[in-house]
Amino acid sequence: MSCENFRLIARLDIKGPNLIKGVNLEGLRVIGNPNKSAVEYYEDGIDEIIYIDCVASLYGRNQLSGLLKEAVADVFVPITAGGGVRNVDDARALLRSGADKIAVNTAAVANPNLISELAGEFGSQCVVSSIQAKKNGRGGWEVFVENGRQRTYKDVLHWATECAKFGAGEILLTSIDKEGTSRGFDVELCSKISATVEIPVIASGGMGKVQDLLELIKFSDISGAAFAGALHYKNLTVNQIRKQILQNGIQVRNYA
Amino acid sequence: MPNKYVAIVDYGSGNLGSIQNALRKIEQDSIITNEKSKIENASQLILPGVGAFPVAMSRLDNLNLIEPIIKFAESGKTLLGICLGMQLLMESSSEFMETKGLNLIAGKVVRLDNNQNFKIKRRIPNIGWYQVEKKRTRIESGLVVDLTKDDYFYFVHSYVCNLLESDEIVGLTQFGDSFFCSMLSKANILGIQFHPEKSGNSGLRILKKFTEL
Repeated sequence: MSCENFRLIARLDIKGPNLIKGVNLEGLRVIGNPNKSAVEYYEDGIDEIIYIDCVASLYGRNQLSGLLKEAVADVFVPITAGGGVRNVDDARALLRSGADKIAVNTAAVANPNLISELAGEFGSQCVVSSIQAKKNGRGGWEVFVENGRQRTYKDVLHWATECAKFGAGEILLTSIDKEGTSRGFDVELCSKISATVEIPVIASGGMGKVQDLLELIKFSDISGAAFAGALHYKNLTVNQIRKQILQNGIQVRNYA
Repeated sequence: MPNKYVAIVDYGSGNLGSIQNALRKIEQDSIITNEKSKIENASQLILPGVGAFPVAMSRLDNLNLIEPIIKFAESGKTLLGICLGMQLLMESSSEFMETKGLNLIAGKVVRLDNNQNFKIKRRIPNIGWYQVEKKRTRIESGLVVDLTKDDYFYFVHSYVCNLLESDEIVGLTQFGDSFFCSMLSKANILGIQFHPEKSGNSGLRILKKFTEL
């Protein structure tokens, strides 16, 4: 269990102008306006917000900038942006639009030096290695890219260590198996990765109820959790999550 | 251009728009600039910054901004350094290599202490929401007057300011078994290690305090 103040993070998956949600990163369904959700979660006390452009990597473009510019007028918590970031210029454009941190996956797997380039230019604290992990059936996990569409044959544990070595400031660890299922986090994955690297690790994928979060915190040294569907479908509010984990003795930011 | 404005120093570091957005929210006029005259004429100055200390200092140097910032500090008008901007106020930093800072505050910038013997182990970078404890000193800082236990602020850093004069430390934050200086104040020179522009209403309140100084 961690001694940090646990971070509650809302994850907004974006396609074009829309907030979307899928199951196992597939079968994307439109939920609504992402910025409307961002403001709602901010006002309810979310600690951070992540915007991921789900199709940017596939089509080699990025529409996030416009959305971010609008969001940052009303949202005063850190924003991570990612999806389709291929180089320092892409990252700079997102930072200029209001992002505080940049998440990289596909391009970093193809060229790990991208992580060091970004860290050198903007600082490690700015670089989030987004890792999409899928069970390999042999007790380990394989790295996927292109928002879970493309396998890489890389081992997640090894890749996470590499990301930290190249200068990533934190890891956003998404379990493809659990993503969108509301059946709880991949606790074993989170536990292994957070024990392996020294930088903060954020768990993503599988949050259905607060009990899932408590389980995750109990059995891993994770620094925070990102959730999407649980909030988007209004099964839980940020405030409910915060109150319940506080009641269970987890250190977290107070938010009145 | 407004008569009375906060100038945010633009030296190509970080997301300056966030600070301007936060100031806009509290209805404070501001400009983002690297022009000497605009810095000189500002009523208050914010020195922002994320990233590495040596890069930031060499950019300030290349843009000939070191002298205008020091002059501003000497003018008695309020200067606020945020995150790396706070660290730049110090004598020097050991990040990557020993690099001289603006030398407005006595002391050095050092890596966060993550001692193996600590009972409480923490990760670096230190990322997340933490409290600031007001430190009783002879110097009163308007910035911290109404801080409460319910105020949490967003931190993201690997280095901290190690001040020589403990009287200039006005806020402390816990990391592992020890505390670091999260807010400093020396007359008109102020520094904040966390990001007030990213710390919700608590942060906006601190910025409001600053603009009222």
